[in-house]
Amino acid sequence: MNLTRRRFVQLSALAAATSVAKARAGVNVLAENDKPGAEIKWDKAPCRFCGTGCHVRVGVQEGKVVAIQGDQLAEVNKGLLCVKGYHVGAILYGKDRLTQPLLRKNGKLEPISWDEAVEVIAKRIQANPKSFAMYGSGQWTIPEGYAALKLMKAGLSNNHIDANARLCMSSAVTGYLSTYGVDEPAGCYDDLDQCDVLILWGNNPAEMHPVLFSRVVDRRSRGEKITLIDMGTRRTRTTEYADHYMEFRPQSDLAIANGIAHLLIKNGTYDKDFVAKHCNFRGDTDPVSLNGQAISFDDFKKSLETYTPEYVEKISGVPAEKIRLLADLFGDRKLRITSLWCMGMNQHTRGTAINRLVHGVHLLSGHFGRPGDAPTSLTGQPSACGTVREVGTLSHGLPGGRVVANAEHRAEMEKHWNVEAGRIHPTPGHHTVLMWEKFCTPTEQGGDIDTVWVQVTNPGQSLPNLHKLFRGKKNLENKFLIVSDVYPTATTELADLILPAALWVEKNGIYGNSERRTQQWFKMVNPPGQARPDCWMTLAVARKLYDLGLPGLRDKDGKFLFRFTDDSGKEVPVWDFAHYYDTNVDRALYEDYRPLTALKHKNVAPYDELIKARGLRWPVVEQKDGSWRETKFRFSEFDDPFVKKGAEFQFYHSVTKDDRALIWFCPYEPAEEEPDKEYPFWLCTGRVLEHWHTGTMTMRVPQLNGSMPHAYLEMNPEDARERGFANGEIVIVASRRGRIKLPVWLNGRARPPRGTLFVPFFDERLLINEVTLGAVDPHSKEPDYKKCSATVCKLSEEDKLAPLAKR
Amino acid sequence: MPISGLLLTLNDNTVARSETLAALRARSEFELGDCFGSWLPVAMDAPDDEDSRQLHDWIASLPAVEFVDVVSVHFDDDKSPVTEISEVQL
Repeated sequence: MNLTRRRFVQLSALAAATSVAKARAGVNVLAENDKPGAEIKWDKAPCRFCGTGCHVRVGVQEGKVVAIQGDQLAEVNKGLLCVKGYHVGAILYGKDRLTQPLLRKNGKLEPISWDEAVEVIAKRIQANPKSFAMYGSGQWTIPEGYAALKLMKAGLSNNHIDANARLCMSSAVTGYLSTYGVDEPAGCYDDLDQCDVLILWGNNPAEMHPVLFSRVVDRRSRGEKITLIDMGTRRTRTTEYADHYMEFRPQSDLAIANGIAHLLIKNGTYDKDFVAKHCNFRGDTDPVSLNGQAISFDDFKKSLETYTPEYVEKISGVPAEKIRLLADLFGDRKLRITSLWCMGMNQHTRGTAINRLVHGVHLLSGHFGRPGDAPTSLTGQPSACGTVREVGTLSHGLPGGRVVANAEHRAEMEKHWNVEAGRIHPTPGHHTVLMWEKFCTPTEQGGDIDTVWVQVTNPGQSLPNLHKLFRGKKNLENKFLIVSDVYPTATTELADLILPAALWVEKNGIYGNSERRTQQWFKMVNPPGQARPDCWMTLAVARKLYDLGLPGLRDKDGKFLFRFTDDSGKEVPVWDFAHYYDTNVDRALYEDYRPLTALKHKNVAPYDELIKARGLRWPVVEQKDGSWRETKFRFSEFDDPFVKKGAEFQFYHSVTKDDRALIWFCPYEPAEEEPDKEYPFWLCTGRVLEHWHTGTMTMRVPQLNGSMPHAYLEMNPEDARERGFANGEIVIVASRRGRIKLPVWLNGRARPPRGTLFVPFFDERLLINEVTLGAVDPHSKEPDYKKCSATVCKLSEEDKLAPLAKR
Repeated sequence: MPISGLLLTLNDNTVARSETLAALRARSEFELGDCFGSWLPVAMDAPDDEDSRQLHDWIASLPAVEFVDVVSVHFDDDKSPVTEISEVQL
C-alpha cells in the first residue's frame, strides 16, 4: 500500500486517539506497540508547562521536534494533553530565540563570547559575594536548582537565593509545615478518581489544570456521581460543571472554613475518634509565629463560637444554608471529600492561615488519609515541588526539608558537601519581594543587593508592584542584572548581561510535580546557536570563581566544590562546554542530592528507576526483591511504609513530636487593601487556558497566541454600563501604584460579580503587575495577587484619577 | 498541516449523538474512529491554524459533545511561522 505522508500522519493521529479512547473505556491497549512511524524517533518527557506533570511523547526527526503525543503510559494524563501541552514542542522554535551572550555596553546590548560572559559574572561576584543574589523558579530542573543552591550556600556562604515559587505556593508550604510538620500533600491525583465530593477553594482547574479536571468530567461520563462544589470570587469555566457555586467576598474564605468547623462541633459531627487519636489544637501567638501555641479543644471551640452560618454569610456573602450544606457534607463520614486549591488560597495575605484552616476542616471531620479524602494543593510550575520545595532553593532552605537556621541541618550539609564547619550562613537570606526591593534601592540607602542572576523565570513581569520592585533598578548605575533565558522578556529589557539558555528537551532534566512525582527526561535535540543549559552556566561560573581563587569554591580537601568523574574516577572538566556531556551531570547531581531526601521521609527514587518510569511518587522505598515502590498516600498505614504498624495514621514529623497533626484556629481578618471611595473595585489577577505564566513561551506559539492574543479587563456588565464602557473599549485600570490601558471584555469566559475586576498577567505588553499591591503573608512572604483596590475609567477621564503614590 | 488526534467525550443522549456523528461525518476535515463507550476518537486535518481553532470550537458546540481532549498534534511542516511577541498587534 502506498501511503502519502499526509495520510500517514492522519492515520497516526486517529490511532493515538483510538488508543486513548480504548484505555478510557477499559479496553486493553499495548501502547508501546503503537509506534506512529519509524521515521520519527520518540522519547518521553514531562510537559514543560504547569505543575500537573503530564507526560508527553516527543517525536524528533532530523534534529527537530516535529510531533507531540500525550503519553498513554503516564498515570497523570493517561494519554491526554491540554491545548498548551499539545503545542509544547513549538515553544522551542520561536523566531527570536536568544542565541548568543549579550552584554550591555554604553546602553546597548552587544554580542560577547561565553568565556567573557562567565568572567564578567565571576568577577562581579568576586568583588562582593555578599551582595550577589540568585533568583530562579520551579522551572529549574532539580539538578539545576541543586547546583545553584550549592554554589550560593556552600560556595559563597550566601543565602540570597530564592525562587518564583515564593510567589506561587509558599503559603501552601507554610500551611503543610505548620499542620503536619513537613511539606507537601499527603494525597495525590488518585483522590480525584475516588472522591464523592470535590471542593474547589478559589480554584479553576477547567482552565488551569484541565487534564486533572478532565479526570473528574470523565468519571461523570461513566455515570459516576461526583458532587462538584466551586467556591470562588467569580464564575469561571469550572463553575459550568459545578453542582454548587458559592461566590464569596474576597478574603472571606477564612470565615467560610471557620463556619464549617463551627458547625461540625456544634452538630457533634466532627470525627471525635480521629481527633482524639491524631490531632492537637493550635492558635496564633502575638506576634505571629509559624508553629503558634497550643490551645485546648475548648479554646478552639470557643474561638469558633462567633462563626455562625449567619455571621459567615454577613462576612462572605455565601448564604447561611450553603455553609450548612458544606458542614453537612464534611459531617458525613461515608463520603470521600477532596479539596483542591492553588493560587486563590496561596496568593493571599492570610495564605498560611487559610491553608491551615482547610487542612483543619479535613482533620476535624476525619476526611483524611483514605483514597478520595484529602486536602491537596496544586502547583503552577513544573518543578515547584521537586526543585524549590524539595531541593530547598529558597532563602531559608537547604536540601531535603532542612533549613539554614537549624545548626544540625547546616552541619549535615557541610559534612555532605565536605566543607568546613560554619561555611553555611545561619541567617536566612532575602525572600523574593525583599530581594528585589533591596536590588531596586540605592546601596547607600540600604539596598544591599547589587547583582542578581535570574535563571528560568521572568520577574520583570511576574513580580507585584513592578514600578517599585523591578523598574526601580533602571537608574541605579551600580546595580547589575544578569538574565539567562530563551527569549527576550520584560526582564531582559533591563538586563546588563543576557545569557542564551537551552530549553526543555534541549537538555537533560528532572522535575517534581504537584503529587510528589519525580520525572526524568533526556536531551533530544540541540539548542539553537550558542544557547546552553543553565546548569552548565552555574558550573562554569563556579569554576571561574575557583580559578580566580575564591576560597569557598574549594572543599575541605582543596578540591573544586563541583567535582564530576568518569567511570575510571578521572575528573571530567564539565565547566568546559566541550566536555559537558562527557558525563551525565544530571545523574551525578541528582544522586548526590538523593540521600539528602531521607531526613524528612521524602525519599526520591534512584535516577535509573526514573529512566524506566513515567515518574515515581516519593517516598520511594526499595523492596526485598530489589524493586522500588512509590507511595500514593502519606501518613496512612495502608500505603505509607514509614507509618508504624497498627498506628492507622501517623504524622511522623509532627510539630508537637507526638505523631499528631495540628488543627488551627485562625480568625478572618480584612484584606490589606480593600475597596474604598477612590478605588472602589477589587482587582484580581490570574491565568488563562492558552497561556502559561508570563506567556514568554506560549505567546510564541501561533495557535495559542491566535486563540488569546492579548490581555483584557473582565468586569461586570452592569459596572461597565454605569461607566459607559462598550465591549472592547480601551479603558484605564488604576491603583495607587500604577495604571495600564486594557480592552474591556464583557460576558467573556468568566462572570465577575459587581465591584470586581479581573486581568490576566500573561501579556508582557500589558503589565497588570504595575497595578498590583505586593503585600505579603507574614509567614510565607508570598504576595497577594488576588486582591487590591483599583478603579477604572475612560481614557478621556485619566486626568480625574488621583495621582500615583510616590515610588 | 495541523493534523490533530482528538478524543471526544459524548453524552448518552442518543438523538444528540446521532446528530453529532452525522455533523462530523459530513465534513471532510474529520475522520472518525470507532466509538468506545462515551469516547469517540477523531483525526482532524485542518488547512491552517485558524481553521483548526475554529473547527475545535465547532466540535465543542455539537450537541452530544461534553469535552474535547487533544491527544496528539503534528506541526512539522506547518506553514505559519512561530511568532515573536513584538509582531502581535493589540
